[in-house]
Amino acid sequence: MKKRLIISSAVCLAILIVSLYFAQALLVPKYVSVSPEGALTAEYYAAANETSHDVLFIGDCEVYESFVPAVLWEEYGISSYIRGSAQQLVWHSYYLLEDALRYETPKVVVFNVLALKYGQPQSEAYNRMTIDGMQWSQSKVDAIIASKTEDESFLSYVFPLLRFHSRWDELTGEDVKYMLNRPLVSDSGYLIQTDMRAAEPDDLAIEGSPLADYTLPSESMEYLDKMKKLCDNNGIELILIKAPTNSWRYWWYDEWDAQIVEYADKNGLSYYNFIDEIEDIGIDWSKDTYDGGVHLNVYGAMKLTEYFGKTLSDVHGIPNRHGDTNMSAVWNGRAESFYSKLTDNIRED
Amino acid sequence: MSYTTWSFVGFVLVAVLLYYLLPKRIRWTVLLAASVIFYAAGGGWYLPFIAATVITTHIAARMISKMASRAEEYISLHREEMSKEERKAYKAKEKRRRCAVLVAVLVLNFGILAVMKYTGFTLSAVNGLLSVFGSGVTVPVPNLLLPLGISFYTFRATGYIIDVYRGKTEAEKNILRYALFVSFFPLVLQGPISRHSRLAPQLFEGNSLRRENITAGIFRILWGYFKKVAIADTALVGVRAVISGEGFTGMYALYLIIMYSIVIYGDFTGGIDITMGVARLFGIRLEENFKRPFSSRSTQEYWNRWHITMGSWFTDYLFYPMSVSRPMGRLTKWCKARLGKGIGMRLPVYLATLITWYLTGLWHGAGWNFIVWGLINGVIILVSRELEPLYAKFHKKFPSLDTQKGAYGVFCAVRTFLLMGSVRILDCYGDVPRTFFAFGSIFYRFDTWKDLFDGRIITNLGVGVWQYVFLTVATLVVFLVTRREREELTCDKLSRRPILWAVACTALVFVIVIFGSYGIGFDSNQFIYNQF
Amino acid sequence: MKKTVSIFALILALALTLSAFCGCDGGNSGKKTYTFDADGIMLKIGAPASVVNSLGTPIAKDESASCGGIPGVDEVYVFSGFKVYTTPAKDGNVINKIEITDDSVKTPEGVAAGSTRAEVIKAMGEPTSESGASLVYAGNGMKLTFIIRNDTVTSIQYVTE
Repeated sequence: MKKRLIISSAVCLAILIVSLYFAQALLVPKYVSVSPEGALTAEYYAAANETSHDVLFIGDCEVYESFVPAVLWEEYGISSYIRGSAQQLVWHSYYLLEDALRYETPKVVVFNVLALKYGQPQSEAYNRMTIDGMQWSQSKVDAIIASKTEDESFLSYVFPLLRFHSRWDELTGEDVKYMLNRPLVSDSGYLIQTDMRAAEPDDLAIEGSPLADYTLPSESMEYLDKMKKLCDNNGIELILIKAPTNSWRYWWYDEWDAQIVEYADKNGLSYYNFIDEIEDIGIDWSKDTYDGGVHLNVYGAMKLTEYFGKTLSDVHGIPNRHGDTNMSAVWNGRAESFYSKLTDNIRED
Repeated sequence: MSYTTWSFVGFVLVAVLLYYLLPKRIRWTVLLAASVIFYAAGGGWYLPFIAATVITTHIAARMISKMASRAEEYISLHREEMSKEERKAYKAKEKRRRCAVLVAVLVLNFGILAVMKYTGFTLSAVNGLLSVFGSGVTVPVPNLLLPLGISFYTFRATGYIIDVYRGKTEAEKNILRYALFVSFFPLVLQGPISRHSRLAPQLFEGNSLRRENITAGIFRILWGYFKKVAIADTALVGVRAVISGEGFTGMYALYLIIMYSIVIYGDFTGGIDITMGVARLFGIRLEENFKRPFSSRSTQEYWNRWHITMGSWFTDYLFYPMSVSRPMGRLTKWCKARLGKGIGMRLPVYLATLITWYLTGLWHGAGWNFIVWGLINGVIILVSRELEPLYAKFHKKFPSLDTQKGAYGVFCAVRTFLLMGSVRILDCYGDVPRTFFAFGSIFYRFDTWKDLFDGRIITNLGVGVWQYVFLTVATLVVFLVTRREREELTCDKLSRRPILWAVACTALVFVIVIFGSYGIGFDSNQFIYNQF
Repeated sequence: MKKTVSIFALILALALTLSAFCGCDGGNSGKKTYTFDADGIMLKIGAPASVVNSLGTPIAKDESASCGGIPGVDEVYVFSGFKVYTTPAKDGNVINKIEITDDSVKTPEGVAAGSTRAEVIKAMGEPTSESGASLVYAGNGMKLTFIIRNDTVTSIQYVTE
């Protein structure tokens, strides 16, 4: 009797573990056609294994919608990757960078400063989309602890089933199809947007509302300091940027800009505010945006990439790697994939 | 510590391990330590309250016990010197002295309960009264936090002391052991209200590690979580939406009656299952608190099957003593003389019934809705009693209609389910007029029924079609499993069949993890009875 | 002694029953809700966005989706003197911010852009908190901020907490 109990318990426990494992694979969101932004974090690892990158972009949606690594390669031979995610907060960025440094050491890290305005955890959904894709490491543990909102539990990151089990009544064919592996959604971290929705003309443009207090939160600035230190320790140059935007949604206040300029000066960092350089870049807000001026579409992003690539190459000395055969092989594949997506959706100019 | 937390699971595991590792004689100390920790985790500042109850009832019980044995000794020593009348007088005097001690400790402990639980309610009512009479004065209403489980442990302790007074159980000599009886951690949140004579031996004699206790315990705990997390919490989403939404009347009120019955069944019986299962892991079998309550054919039967230990507490310690008390006897005589035999016989019983139900309602919560709920239950029971001759005639005419079997039996059970469900929604709305209005609307707001057919019930209440499917299947499973529990509980049956047990437990864990309503997007909730 | 117990119980019961002739006061958390009056139409934080339609045609309107495919679109409606922002919620968009942009419009308490700090405190009472030179009044689930520069109100904003 006792023996039967022990054997049947052991067998059933094994069956339970296996079925829960498959249930988890089935129930977690696949981020392919719905919220592809959630897939970005995980896609980095395969790319880092393929080839090294001299430039690493980190930051929020402004970063993965503003730069096209395929263009950086084509025009300047720069090998780059965008480690962005939706509403990536500065502590996310720090730990994602720390994580990336286990795989490679780029020459330059480009960080979009918009996220510095958030000093506290914001949203459980964006936390999950940014962190779930990380491979387990001390960085992931630290990222979870730093970012989790009050009602999140650490255990639900260890076992995402505990968070996503409720999707059982929302499953689609995609959940089954991509249960064990899924296709890439990004091009070296860039999420292509080919639509066009013009921003409001200047006379009707809506500005951001004034704030009571413009001081950037100290929590964010502390993480920026940590990021700088991490880069210094690894011989990486940290470059600060502000991606171009024309919307009240993510308004970049002059007061914030001044603080970043001061910070950059104090720490000997380069800071490029692309909002000020719209004309030089050649961005046309009636054509180069897919969401009314909040983010650039692929046409705007290509323009910005060409512009910034020159700076990276001439001012920051990022080498042209066209001569490296291994890298070229990898990048030719990536570029081809990007350009074919582009031509599939070409617009009449 | 809520049952639906990992810390509780860990806590129980550690407690069980320690219990069986220690020698049998001191195993009860593990239970006491666990109970203190459990209680302190719920709020350290509550400890003085439960300690006060433990100390006062313990001292009183020992005093009563000593006084009784001394009186007996005296009588046996002085038997020859005393006449019969003298002995009788002496016994009566001693009894009165013991009674005084009993009353003092009861007043003290019920007083504590009354103050902590009902001050806010009473003062608000007083304020309302003052405003009705146009006075501008308002009494400040303090916000007193309720010590954890006070309603349950107060009844446990007072039941004990009354039992000691009546000679039904022995006074506990060791105050720590007594403290364990009062505070035993599985009983804190929802009861059952255990009796000392039955529980004490199991608590204090270390129990041996038995396979069937562990297997039955584990199954029962999982079954409880299944009912609570998968069934009750899923249905609760819809219930909450109806209560907090505006204009959810008519069909929605009927929906509430049915769904809330499911919620409270899953929540309360599920919680009790976890309680029983945890106790069983230590080899302790508590009294059953539920016996397939929704198969009751009448309200009277329902109250013999639902929250059994509460019902029996009120019956044994309030209703019977009240009914056979001298004031009641005098009232009966007076009524018979003035109002005739019929009313005379009835009035005292009815008075006792209504007072008992008034207090039962009040015990459930400090609010008018609870009092009304209690009284309605009392009235229903009295009305059924009055109608008994009519029922008898009816059954004589239609002998084939058996309340226990067949279609008529099902009809009776459904009728009782709906009746009890209707009264129970006083709990939901918390407001008596609103409840009556909502209930009434079932009979004229027929326009709301279209929401059921055009899918708006789904968007309005936030519970999807698949969840209703799951609820139906799960409820069916519970029904099928429990209807075979007439002789033996499922957990006991399964502990004899290891393969089936392992399969059942695995299936339950899987269902709870996948289909349970927990985590982000659900309000992970305490049991409804935890405010006691 | 049983008599005493019964009497005690009866008194308790009677006392509670006597207070039966009154309803209980359903107390609120006591916090005010600050609202904004736009030509007779009351706007408040958390109200459904549809109420904006009754304000007429806005001077300008814009909408933008959230990052990351979270469904729903944030909107802004610009009117003469004020802007209304809405955000997605369970049953459609709700108002999550109202901003008074110039002195053509006043709050119901009579404060407008250009008022001095002292005038604000006179009309509104003491603020719940201050942020720099700005005054914040906490309400029920929302807060009303008067942004003050050089002792004058430059912007008045109703936002969710």
